[in-house]
Amino acid sequence: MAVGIEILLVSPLAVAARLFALLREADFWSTVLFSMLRIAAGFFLGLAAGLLLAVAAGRFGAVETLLWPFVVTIKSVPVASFIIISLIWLSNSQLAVFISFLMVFPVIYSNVLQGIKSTDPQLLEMAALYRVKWRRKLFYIYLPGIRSYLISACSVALGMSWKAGIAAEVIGVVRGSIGEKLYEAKIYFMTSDLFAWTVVIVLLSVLFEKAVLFAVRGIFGRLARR
Amino acid sequence: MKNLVMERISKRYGEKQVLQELSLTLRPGSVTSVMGPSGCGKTTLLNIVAGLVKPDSGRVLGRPGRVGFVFQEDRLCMDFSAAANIRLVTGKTGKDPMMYGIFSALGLQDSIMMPVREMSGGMKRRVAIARALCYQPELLLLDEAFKGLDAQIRQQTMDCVLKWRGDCTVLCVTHERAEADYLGGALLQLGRTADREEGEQGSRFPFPSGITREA
Repeated sequence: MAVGIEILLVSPLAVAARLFALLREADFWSTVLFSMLRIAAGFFLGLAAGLLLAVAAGRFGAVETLLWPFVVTIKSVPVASFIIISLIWLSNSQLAVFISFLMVFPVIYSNVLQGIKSTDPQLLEMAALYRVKWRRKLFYIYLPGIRSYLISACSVALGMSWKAGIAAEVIGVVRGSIGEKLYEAKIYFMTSDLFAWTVVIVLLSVLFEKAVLFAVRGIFGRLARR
Repeated sequence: MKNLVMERISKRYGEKQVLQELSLTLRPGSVTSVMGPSGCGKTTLLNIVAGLVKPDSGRVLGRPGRVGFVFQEDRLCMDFSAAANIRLVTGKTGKDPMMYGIFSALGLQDSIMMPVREMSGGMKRRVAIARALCYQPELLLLDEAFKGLDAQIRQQTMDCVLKWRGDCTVLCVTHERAEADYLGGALLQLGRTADREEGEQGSRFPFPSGITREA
């Protein structure tokens, strides 16, 4: 009988105690690293693909037309469906990478493309008159224009990549991941573990977001000082 | 270089006919100022000459490959330095003696690396002019390029344009007769009963001191 065990809710003290206990466990850091690396890989792949394809779509209308059905599909299909399909197609360890990528790509692509389309037409007219090469136009005119779009897209996509990545690990019961720990906490009614791991996920997500946004802002700052 | 010929140019925006059967020939290396009341088609004329706007009828012949344009708006990349804005159109990297010469002539030699966003309105105007000159155009179009500059800076800027334009053809829209006279060359008056009054030769005389800018 589970008498005296906090199941529905646990006190903050119990969560803190469990969190400190987790920090001392041998597999804590390897579990954190396992999930973080895969979710980060998915995020950066989604960021790179979203950026490159948005730039291509901004330059060639045909690319936007070709990508449109894929982007709409990714946006509207429930993430759980993708996770289950991916479980059939991919190995467990790749699951979080792929799901994180799928969450990040459409957000980055749509926002950056919107930023490119919102570029000041007067600057573009000036660049056309002065016969500015496309690479220079991209660097001096488009990149500053997409800055705010990219930062807000990253901010949204970072949170989504963690949420979807961990959800994929829970559904796929990926061995050695944070998702597996959450799954075990659910199975064995270890609510304090569930809350402690949730705190870990929130902290990792916030730290990852701060680091990525700091780097993105730094890159744009360096570009402007050239 | 060939003559730049505008043949029977007409342009209408909705109900308003802004240019009608305008014909004009600019000799290579000439300076021509265009004056006229607001809305008479001065900027439209420059846009048609630059190829940015298509005329309803008529044509432009002999448009050179390199056209420099100082627009009414500065159209600068605000996040970058003045030097970077020049690099955008010239593609030159490293120290460009011509750029430094033009910036010195404009009194901006200490502001080359300053972000454009931090510059005053007058400085931005001069950077836009420097950009057009550094491009080494064969045709330089100036649309109220000296507007917003105080008398002394304006004279300095016009001197710079005259010095660094080389042998390019200049077509300058202005509201100030004194500016047209200072630049010299022909004066085209738009918006009169006749479509143009060409060939009135402006003489070069010192810029009158204390001249005030039109509102």
